[in-house]
Amino acid sequence: MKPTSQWGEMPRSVNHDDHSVIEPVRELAERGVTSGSAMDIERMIAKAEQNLASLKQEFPIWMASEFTELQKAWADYKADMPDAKRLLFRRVHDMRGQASTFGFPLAGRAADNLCKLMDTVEAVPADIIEAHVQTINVIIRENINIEDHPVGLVMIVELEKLGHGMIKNALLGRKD
Amino acid sequence: MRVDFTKLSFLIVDDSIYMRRVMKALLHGFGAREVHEADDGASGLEIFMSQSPDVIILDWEMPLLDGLEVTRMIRNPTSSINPFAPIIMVTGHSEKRRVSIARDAGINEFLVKPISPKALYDRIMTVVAFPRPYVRTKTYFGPDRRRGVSNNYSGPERRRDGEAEMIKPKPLIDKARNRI
Repeated sequence: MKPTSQWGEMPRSVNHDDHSVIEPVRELAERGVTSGSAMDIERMIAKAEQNLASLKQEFPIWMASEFTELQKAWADYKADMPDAKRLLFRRVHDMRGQASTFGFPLAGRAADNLCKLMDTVEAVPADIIEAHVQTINVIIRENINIEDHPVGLVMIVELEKLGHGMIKNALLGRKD
Repeated sequence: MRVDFTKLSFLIVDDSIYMRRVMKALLHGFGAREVHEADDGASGLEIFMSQSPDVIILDWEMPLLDGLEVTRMIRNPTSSINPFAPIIMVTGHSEKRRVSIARDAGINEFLVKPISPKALYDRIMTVVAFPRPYVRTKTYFGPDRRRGVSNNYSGPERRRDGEAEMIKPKPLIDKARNRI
């Protein structure tokens, strides 16, 4: 292993028969840590939360844009375009991660369910994917931004029940 | 003790422009001034090589090179500018299997979306203030994957290459005796 200019000499390491343990590099801690109270940290986190809240009015627009991308990926998948399955999975994964942050937790749950299905079940039937995409569409279109919205919740619970069953069967190696 | 964000540089690698905006808003809120960003793994790697950021915040699912591939390249001690660079993987994947895969690629911390400012701060604090030792075997270079010493571990001795040595489970009676 060659030393790098940034790190100067390589950190000290202890060699064993089959592995080396390298001491933690302290350079970052020495430069990037300073004294501060719990209240200082709370203030920093509050400022970050405030910055996040200032973006809030853009979230519905961002979600609509993300959904357009998801819809495109779904159309490509249905048209059997090359690499479409991977792209669709990536779009669903994006939606899964972002929807709650952007104020659409139920869309996040639908995407989470579809992600798990695509990750576990060899070939997820098109109508099941369609049901998830349409549910996400309705949630965004109707601006359903609460976790316990009665209609939204019913749709999600149904999809999750379906998903759990299919994943369980896939894991058991059954083909029904 | 707190992180002084003004003294650190960050690289956000995420294919979603919106997530990058969120992440930047949070880092600036913490006080960070130097925040680089990339919209795919290949550009992220390029910026890493040219700017050598102190902390990398990396998505998993991305075009060109995904987060795992980027991690493995950063951890390559023969070609990387800094194989010790702290990597926080921020992803929608929450399955245990995925966490293990990311850990074995060499990430330092794992953060499941949706992210909260506090969770992000805590992960950054951990990688900056409490760095773990790094381990090099024939097949792995990265932060020590053992966060603690377990006297009750049973299974393969994974640091050994080739034929894995099995660590036999201790009889329950021994465990019980240790507790007395």
